[in-house]
Amino acid sequence: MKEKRKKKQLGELGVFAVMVIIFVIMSIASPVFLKANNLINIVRQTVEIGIMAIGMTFLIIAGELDLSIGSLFATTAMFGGYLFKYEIVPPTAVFFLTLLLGILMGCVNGLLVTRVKIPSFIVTLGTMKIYRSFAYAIGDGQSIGQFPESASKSWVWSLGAKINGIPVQIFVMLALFIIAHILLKKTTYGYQVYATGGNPRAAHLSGINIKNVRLIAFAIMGFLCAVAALVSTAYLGTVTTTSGAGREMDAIAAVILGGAALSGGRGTILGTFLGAIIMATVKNGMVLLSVPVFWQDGFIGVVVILAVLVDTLFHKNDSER
Amino acid sequence: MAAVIEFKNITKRFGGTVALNDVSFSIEKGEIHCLCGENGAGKSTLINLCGGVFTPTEGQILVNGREENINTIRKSEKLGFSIVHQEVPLCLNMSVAHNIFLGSAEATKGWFLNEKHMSEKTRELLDMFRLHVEPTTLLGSLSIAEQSIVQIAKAVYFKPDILILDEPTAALTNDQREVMFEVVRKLVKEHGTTVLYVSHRLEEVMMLGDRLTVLKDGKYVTTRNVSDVTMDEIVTLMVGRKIEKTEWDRSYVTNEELLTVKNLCNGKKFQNISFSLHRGEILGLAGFVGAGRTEVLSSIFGADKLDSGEVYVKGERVNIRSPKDAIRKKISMIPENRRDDGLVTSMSIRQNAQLAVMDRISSKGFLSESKSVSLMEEMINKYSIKVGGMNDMILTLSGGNQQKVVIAKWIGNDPEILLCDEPTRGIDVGAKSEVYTILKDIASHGIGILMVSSELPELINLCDRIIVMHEGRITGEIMREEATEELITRYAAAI
Amino acid sequence: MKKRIMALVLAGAMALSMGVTAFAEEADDISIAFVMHAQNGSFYTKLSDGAEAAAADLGITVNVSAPNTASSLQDQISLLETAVASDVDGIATVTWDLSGFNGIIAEAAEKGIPVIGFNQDAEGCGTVAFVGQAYEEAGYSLGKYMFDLMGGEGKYIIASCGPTDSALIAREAGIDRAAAEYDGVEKLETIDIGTDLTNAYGVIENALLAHPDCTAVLGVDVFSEAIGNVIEDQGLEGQVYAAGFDLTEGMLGHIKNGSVQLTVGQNPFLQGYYSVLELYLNKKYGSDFLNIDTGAQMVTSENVDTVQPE
Repeated sequence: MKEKRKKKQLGELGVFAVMVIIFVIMSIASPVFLKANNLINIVRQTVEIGIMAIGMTFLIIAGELDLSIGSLFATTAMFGGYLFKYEIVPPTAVFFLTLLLGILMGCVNGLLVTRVKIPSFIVTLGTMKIYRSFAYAIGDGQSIGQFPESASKSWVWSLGAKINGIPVQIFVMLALFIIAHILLKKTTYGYQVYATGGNPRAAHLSGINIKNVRLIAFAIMGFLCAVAALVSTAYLGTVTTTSGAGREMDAIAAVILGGAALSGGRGTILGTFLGAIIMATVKNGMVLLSVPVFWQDGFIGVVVILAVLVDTLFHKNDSER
Repeated sequence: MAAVIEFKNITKRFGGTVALNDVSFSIEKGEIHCLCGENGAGKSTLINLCGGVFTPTEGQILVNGREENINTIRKSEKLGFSIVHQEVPLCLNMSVAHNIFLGSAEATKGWFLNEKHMSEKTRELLDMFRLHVEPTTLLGSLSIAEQSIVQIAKAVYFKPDILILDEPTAALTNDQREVMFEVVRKLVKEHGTTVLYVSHRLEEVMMLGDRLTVLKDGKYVTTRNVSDVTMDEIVTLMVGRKIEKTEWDRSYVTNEELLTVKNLCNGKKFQNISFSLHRGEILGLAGFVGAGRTEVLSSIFGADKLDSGEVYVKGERVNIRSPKDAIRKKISMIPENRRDDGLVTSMSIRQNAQLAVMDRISSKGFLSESKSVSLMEEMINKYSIKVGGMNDMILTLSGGNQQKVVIAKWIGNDPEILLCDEPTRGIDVGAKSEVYTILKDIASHGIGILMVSSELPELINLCDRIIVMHEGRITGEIMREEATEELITRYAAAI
Repeated sequence: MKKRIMALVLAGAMALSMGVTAFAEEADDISIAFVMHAQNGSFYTKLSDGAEAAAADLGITVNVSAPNTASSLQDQISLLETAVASDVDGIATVTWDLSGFNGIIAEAAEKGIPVIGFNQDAEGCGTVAFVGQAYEEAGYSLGKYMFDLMGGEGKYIIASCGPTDSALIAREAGIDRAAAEYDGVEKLETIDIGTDLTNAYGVIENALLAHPDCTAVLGVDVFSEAIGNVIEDQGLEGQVYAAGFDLTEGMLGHIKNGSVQLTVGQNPFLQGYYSVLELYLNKKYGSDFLNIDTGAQMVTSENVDTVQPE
């Protein structure tokens, strides 16, 4: 038992070290950085990427990838926004319909990958484009905003509200991270996810239905995109057709920062959480330090490579023998 | 005769573990020197020291009398070493010829590949090994046995000064082995190559070797002339005790039919396979590699599809379409290829052992840590698996112990029918006998075992009945009392 | 191992060099966050050049930022949040979404940070003032000039890259208002030319084939230069009039060649400069905020040699 704990800590030590280094540098460099408001902002700005990165963690551990999540996010957001705006069904129904749509779209990805047997990279590259078109089509190319009171006064909008200055969405994200951690580490499903990504043949021969394990991971991904979409809608009070673009790469970067292997079988929810926080912190820090816009993307690239390097240094001894 | 390689007080530590402890011996020019020892005895470590994969913690390696610091693979090659590893490190997506000439200057002519030269030379080489495949065949489409022959052929082609063979025959049939021995002997005679040969099969050591060195638990035991020792003596030196054979003689066969198959067919792989397996029986499935034995097993298990045929479990007609169905019918399978099919290398020992028994360590979908740990402790004690900690990664175990984990994983599932494919492939004598004991013990609990094996002594010692296959058909059935190596071979070759 | 350390050092050096650039700008007593909605064109460079010029002239700090993904509402909101948290003295931003910015602007107002809008305006979003072009007026000016040139008669097509975009709708409405003042002028249709010049070329070509009686193609956005491309390639000069928006290099070339008669600039430099200036004056002297129309800069063959491409 003791031994396990030791191993686990080592697993996230690399990414944790990177995070601490960034925090130390930032708190020296900027007087604003450590202010409560700014720290809350960082966590708030983690929410969208963080929630999506949870789903991506499941997929990457299971040996899959989803490039369509940005578009999936936009479609579910536009869908929900449309229903809210024109009061077609009550807000509570919109909430559940949106989640259902997310799950369905995730399942479409999953079915194409597991049943039609097209590699997930290709499937989701295709659905990335298709779902984006859906998003445009729903809003007729325009964003949807200025929601009626039936929506903005409903409980759904509390997802975007603040309690004593702390955004509710932070708690939503944290709750999802905790649930995901339990799902991945404490349930048979999580165990099957690791096995499926680690060695699909061995998992299959062990009686694990690897197709369904992957399908469910895609469904979880779709569900989480829909949650992120609802949170964003409630927070911003508007939905745009272009929202979520490029988020797939941010989410993948967060998962990889967290120590997951793209080849599958390795990764943790805690690592992903730290990875997502790092992404948000770096973005925030660059603005505080007035780094020119052109260099910000490059800087994030450096951080990703650096963090993975640190991680391989920490894991060097694992592979030797 | 001059020593080509001399090991002087070699010690190699990995963290706290001592893999080699003050080992000294020398290998002379032009001899075939065999290295014997159980898994974990330090043989692989010694080979990796020669290959430049590791450097010794203490001590020196002398090559042709000069102390050399072999710290890279390139350095090792420069000194004339050529190593054939147990796992085949070749590119499955490339042709046989391209694999053989991978990284060689002969592969190119100016800026272009010299296809003609490569395929001519490859054809000569393949003929020498009597392997009937085209040089352009994709390596991935060959059987594991054929792949390992290609690997050996590649090493032989470049006529190294020192050839190290690590378990080269694990997948080979007797005929293929004979051919390989012939080629190795010829290489020694004509080119003066020195051979360091590592094998678990002691009869091979007796057949091929000039001298042998025994290692045990990382320590040097002795070096002898092969002509001066018997196999039993070697075993005693390796394990420090005599292996009891009598315990496997007991039979637990009953009359109850557990598994009956009728007219199983699967394309060209096998046709009209019918047999039944009884409670408590160990039924052997013999034949050469490629006879369709593995395919029969995986079809019954639902991992391969059947074209036609009927499967009955305890008299009831069943339709097994996936391993999950099979497990539900209380059938388990220990696959042939441990690394590829049996283990998830990114997982711990405990996680691997419990992959197929999730129901027993969870309730309502949630894993129970305490149930899992106590089940694992039970497994470790029952199968005497040597582990540092049950949460260590699976690859920290030796091959024999890995195999025991795989067996434990499947027995933990409480099967009634156990299918095993080459259960002792690539593991050492000591671990083998432990596996035999485990299998007999399993049979004594009323489980029927269907076992594919290429090791004839193993089949003869262990099985109550042996079915022999040749090119997808059953060619004979032999009862325990009448089983001899000659009889099995005759059926297998369909003479 | 050596290689890994090398890579680490290299990456570290890169990170450090970026950090140094970052530290180069020292904080001053007045600091303003200038948050754009994109950074992927010369137009945006002019905007930020204006803001930075104002900062240099006034001796204050202006922190320019923009989302890495163009027009990502979520990213832009994050940038604004960071600005609010760092207690800047004022924020200038582009409120291009109808209601998406309301929340963050209200939050800034609560903390006493004024938010001024530039370039694009959303009605009722809470900004203290808007610095930019009055879109409908600009469209009206374009229409008026062109229809006079055409002698008060003809049939025109509107070429828009986003017929649902509110700013472009306003420009189009302005043109239509001008057209209503001429009895002989008739509108044929509005075509969607998309945001790609090659694609736009094809769409305009098709529209001209479908309407052989068309005498003018009027653009409302930065992709108007495609109109000039079609006219030049097909030798339609003299038969079809053309006009559009923004001072791209291609557009200015068309004006010089005579294939396009008019293009309307909106002087992004001025927008950037003025929005910073207003925030400065308010902070320092308490001067009230006021909408500033940066106007419609009419560029024709007469003055084309005096303007720089944007």
